[in-house]
Amino acid sequence: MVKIQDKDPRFRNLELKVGALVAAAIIGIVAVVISVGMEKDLFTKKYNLYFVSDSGSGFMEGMPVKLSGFKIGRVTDIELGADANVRITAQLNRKYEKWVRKDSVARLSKEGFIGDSFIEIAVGSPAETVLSDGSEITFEKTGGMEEIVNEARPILVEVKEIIHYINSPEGDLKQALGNVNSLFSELRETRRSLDETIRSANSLVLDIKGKSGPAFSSVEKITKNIEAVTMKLDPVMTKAASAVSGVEQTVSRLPTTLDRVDGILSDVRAVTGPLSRQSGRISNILFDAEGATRDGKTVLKGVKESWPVKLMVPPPQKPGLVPLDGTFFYRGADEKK
Amino acid sequence: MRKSSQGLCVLLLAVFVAGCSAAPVKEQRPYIMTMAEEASASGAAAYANGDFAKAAVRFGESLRMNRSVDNRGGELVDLINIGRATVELGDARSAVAMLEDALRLAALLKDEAALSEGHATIAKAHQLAGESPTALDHIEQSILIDARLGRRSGTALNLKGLIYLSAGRRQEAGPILAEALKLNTNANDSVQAANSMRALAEFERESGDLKEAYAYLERAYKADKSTASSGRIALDLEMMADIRVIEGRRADGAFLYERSYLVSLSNGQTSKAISRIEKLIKTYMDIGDVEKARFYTAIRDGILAGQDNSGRYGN
Repeated sequence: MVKIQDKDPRFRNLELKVGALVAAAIIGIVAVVISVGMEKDLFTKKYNLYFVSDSGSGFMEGMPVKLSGFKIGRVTDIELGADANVRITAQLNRKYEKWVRKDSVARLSKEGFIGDSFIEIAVGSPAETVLSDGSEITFEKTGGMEEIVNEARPILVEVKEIIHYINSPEGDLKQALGNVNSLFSELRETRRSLDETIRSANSLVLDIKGKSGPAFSSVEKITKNIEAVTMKLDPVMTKAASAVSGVEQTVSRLPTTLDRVDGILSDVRAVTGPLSRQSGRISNILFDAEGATRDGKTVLKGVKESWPVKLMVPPPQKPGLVPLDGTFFYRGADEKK
Repeated sequence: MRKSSQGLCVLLLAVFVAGCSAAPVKEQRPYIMTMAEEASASGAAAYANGDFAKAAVRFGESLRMNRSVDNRGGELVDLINIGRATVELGDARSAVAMLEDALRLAALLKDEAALSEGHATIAKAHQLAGESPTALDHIEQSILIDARLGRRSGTALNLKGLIYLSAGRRQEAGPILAEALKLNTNANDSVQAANSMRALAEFERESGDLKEAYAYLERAYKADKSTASSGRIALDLEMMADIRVIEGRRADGAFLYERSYLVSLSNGQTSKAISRIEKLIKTYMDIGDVEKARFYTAIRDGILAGQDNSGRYGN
């Protein structure tokens, strides 16, 4: 009796086919493992560096070590030393060894305002020697935002004092400005009176042609008005003089204030040093914030529209049609104001 | 069989690629729609303040965003709003073009309410372009759709009455405007009620009943004062002055013209102020009060000189 396999051509070389399939699968698995390993730098040569920090806060095993923004290794060990200092060991890829030299500095940094922490290593100068396996790299403690804010606090207090001095209603500046203000309002009033008087005079001149008799008595009246207005101007001018002298006094005090401001500016410069080092981060933060705002709006919209929140929150008003004005009496925007 | 399988594969691949390319747009859609709503709300605020140019710009931004995410409902609202802002700017031709798009889209979306609003707005645009028969067709379609939806619009009736008036069909205009006034008053819509009153005043004036016309204008003036609409108040005063002058009560007319021009001037409507002051000058000349005519002529010249100096014309 002949077996079916012997007749069916599909079963020819079956062992060979199965073997090839299994071999292909094994090759595939090995390729995946190799590719993942290469991706994770499992096959690259490594070496260790360590640094000492007075606090272990912010460090954790596995955290990335970066050089110029590229990951070159990771923290492998954190241990508390006998002197209560913390020794942090990092394992770095050997191929980046040439960049990490004796004057290289390690810093604890953060990705964005709320991002992950990582160790940033600054590239060393070519003149210095390359750090070998097991060497110590200098760790530089960077002030976080909190530290910068603490440093800026006394300066902010002084700025606040100056603003208070400028804004104080009893302050020289405010009083001088107040005097000038009231002076101008009185001048405006006086000018209005003069305008009215001049307008009356104009219409009177037109009247003179026909009715010269009564007009002359009106002219007399107007002349008196002008005199009264001129009299009014005297106290205004006196006030103007006193207001101007007030301004002068204030201006004379300004150099002292400016000195203080100058001092503050130098302090501000000192503080902006660390801030400028953080500027990259700050721009990142702003970029993140923009995205977060955008996402926030979308999320808020989604939350509002989801059950059961939509039962509690009144439905948002969709933009609708603006009202149509049922008239033709208006042509253009002028009439609509 | 083999060819059809290949075709199916190509089709599936195309669908997959199209889906992948559409994914980022889909992700952005809620955000863009929110931005479009914000632009539209800002346009509505500008429209309410009488800044129709700004309103048109903001509605245009909203339209572009809605179109980019294929939000047809939002697009329809934007098209009608742009049409309304453009009509108020006096650009009837652009408004008609925009509103014709709106009508096509409303029909496509089967949005009857928007279709009615679109017809009413395009009717106003056609009327402003001097095309009364087309305007009448559209306003009647709007009223017909409203009836189908079981509602009545005082605004549409106001427009229909005014179109009849301008077409010389006075007898048909009267009852429609009276009905519009009733509807607007019942709806507590002071602005539209004042529009009905002014239209009825025009109707009465054309009918020769100046007393009734003046009474309507007094009511319109009162209603406009309640909404603090300076432009409309100035218009009411001018229309009241016109009637007083026709009645031969020129001194009263002059007083009303003076109030009208002062309201316009204080509100920055210089061109309207000038046209009203010219009516005032003419009235004083007719009375024979040359002195006052000269006085107001000097004021008018001063306003014109101010316009020339500031380089503003015809605002």
